[in-house]
Amino acid sequence: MASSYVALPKGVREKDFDAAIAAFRRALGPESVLVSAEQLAPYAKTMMPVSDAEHVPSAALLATTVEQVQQVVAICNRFGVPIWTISTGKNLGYGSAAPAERGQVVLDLKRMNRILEVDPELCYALVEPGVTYQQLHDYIRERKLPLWLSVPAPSAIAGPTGNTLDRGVGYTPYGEHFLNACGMEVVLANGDVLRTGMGSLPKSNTWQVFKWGYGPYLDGIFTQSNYGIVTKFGFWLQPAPPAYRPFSIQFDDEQAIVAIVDAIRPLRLAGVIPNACVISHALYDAPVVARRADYWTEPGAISDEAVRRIMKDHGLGAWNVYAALYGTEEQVDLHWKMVTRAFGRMRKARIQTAEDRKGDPIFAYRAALMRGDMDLREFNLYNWRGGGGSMWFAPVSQARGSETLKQMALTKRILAKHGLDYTGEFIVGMREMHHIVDVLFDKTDPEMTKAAYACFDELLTTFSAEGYGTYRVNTAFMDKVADTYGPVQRRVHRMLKRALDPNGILAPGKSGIRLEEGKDT
Amino acid sequence: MEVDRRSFVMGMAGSALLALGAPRAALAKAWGGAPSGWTLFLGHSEAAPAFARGVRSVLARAGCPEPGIVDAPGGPIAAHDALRAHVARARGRRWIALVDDGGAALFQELIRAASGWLLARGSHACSRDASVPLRHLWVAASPTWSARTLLASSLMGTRSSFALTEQILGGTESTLPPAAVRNDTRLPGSADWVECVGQAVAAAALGLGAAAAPAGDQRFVHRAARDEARLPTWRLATFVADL
Repeated sequence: MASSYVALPKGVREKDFDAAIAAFRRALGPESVLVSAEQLAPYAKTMMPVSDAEHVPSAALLATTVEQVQQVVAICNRFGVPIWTISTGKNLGYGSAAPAERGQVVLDLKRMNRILEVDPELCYALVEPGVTYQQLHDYIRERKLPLWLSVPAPSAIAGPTGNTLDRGVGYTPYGEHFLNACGMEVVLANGDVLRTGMGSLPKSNTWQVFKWGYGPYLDGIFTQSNYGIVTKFGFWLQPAPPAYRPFSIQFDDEQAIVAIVDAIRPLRLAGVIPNACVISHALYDAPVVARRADYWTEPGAISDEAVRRIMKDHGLGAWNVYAALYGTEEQVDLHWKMVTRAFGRMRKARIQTAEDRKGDPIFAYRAALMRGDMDLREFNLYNWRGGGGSMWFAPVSQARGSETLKQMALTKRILAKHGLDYTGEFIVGMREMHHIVDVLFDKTDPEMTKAAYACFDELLTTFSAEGYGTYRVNTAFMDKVADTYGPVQRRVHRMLKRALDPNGILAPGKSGIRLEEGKDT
Repeated sequence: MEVDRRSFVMGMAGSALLALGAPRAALAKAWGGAPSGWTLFLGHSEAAPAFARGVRSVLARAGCPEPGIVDAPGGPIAAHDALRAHVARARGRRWIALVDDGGAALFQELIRAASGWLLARGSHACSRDASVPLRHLWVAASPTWSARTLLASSLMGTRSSFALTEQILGGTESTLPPAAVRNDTRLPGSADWVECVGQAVAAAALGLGAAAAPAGDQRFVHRAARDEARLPTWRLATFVADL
């Protein structure tokens, strides 16, 4: 007999799921329990090279209060129902809103969307998980508060809680988001409500200003994990600087990446350039202004010759550095001299100010993101290859020029072998560097989709063998990445899981963490 | 100090509507019922005329009222604020949307953020870098919104090879009430593949392609005797959603 549900959670009988759904309806109200296929379809789309049917949820729950979240976990424990929690669900390219495993129930916290506090003097915010960056941006703008946000590229539609909990980043001096997190409220699997740091102390007003509290620091275990449900999140905001000077530097030679990174590192470590520097390859910038089909219509990866034509036609470098200076006019003037001196020594570096690139949409969107404004133009990446396929490949290395060429050559070789383009950038954090590659493919083409899966698998295998760990990955490859960090870490993750969530109801599979040994043995 | 986002969005809606040139009539309505009207969102400047022609011809033949047109040539990337405000204001309508792939990522997120019902979505490509130039991926929430027979019969008119993959997420018929349409509604036929997609998407939105097949993936490939070489090499994404 056909099930009346789109899917069922693994190991849960329909009769028990019926009872769980009835209990969810009593707790949340019938309108907040979604089970029809049309209501669940918005949660089922992924950009990964797998069928969306593998990630379709059995239900979605819309909680609005902490008490409702507590009731949900109690019901899940009673019936053994796994839940996959999302805040705004915008983890695009890393799995989107879809659960890691077919049949998990999505707990959607988008309606917990209150901005609880914004303090313009101490420069912090406390929000519920459904709050978006757009919402905060509007709030700050309406009140003319002298504060800046730091946002990832999906800016307006994403939110600080989900982005930070997945250890996402932004492009301002506050761009390392977890570094600027301060205080969480977490519903644990047993229903307890934990406030981390100073938040557990009655009458304390230091929850959002002092991270560490007393005893072991706990916030980190609630990021990229499945040990609790964060229902309030505190983080620091940047005081609006009196002066802001974005700039770009272009290089036509791909080999220049070595010197670029070595020039940036001391400027970053000394605080001259206070935000993470993006070094974007021509093909990462091109989708904002060019169509791939105008330059390359053959099967396989785009040729180097075609890339050079794109660079020439659209005024792009092979590498394009984006960074900014912040502070008083005097500070910015001084730092500008240091930047131009450092890069002026490099042959054929084109140093460009905002005035030089006035009217250029690529520079405009980068400049917007580096001051925490809402700008969605990076979504043009998805138009490059087209067909809706995207996976972020994100290995981490030391911030040394010598790390770049080897990584780029490896990546390009593997991508080209599978017929895919190199659409990448290096981001110099401080002492570390992220190599971010959008593996773009066309999901209407089954052969390319299959190739994309094999390509991503090979990238992970090859890079981990070279000692480059991946800092974040989509839900189809979480177990594989967890394996690259070795069996001891997996065992510790599982020990924590068993202690904090003995029934394994919270997001089984997130970062490869689940009760049973299963895939990690 | 607590602020609810929704009141702010509603406050913005009026000015954003003017920017889009969209109808101001607000149709507050609960989701999950019969739609109170149709909205055609055109967010793909190159393909919009042919797609709109296909959609409107089928809706007209089915006796449906003329859809309200929301024309946004830059798609959701350029017009995100206005689109969001429009959705917040005009609820209870069935949307047919045409966007590019970048816009598709945003439109999908907008549907979920608005607690909309997603009946089906499609990805449609014509390119010369694949073994079959004309390709369609259609994901239907339930068999009611299947489009494979509609697309296949419509695309035959283009005299081109095409591949069609359909995924149906849930195996049971939709709980949404069926659209009131004329029983004799037929697809008009066209040689333009984009117009064919418009026709098939509109027909699927009416439930005219309802399939008896179970949930899962189905793939079909049609090989033409000689492919039409001059098809426009565009990529589009389509949505059918109740918002």
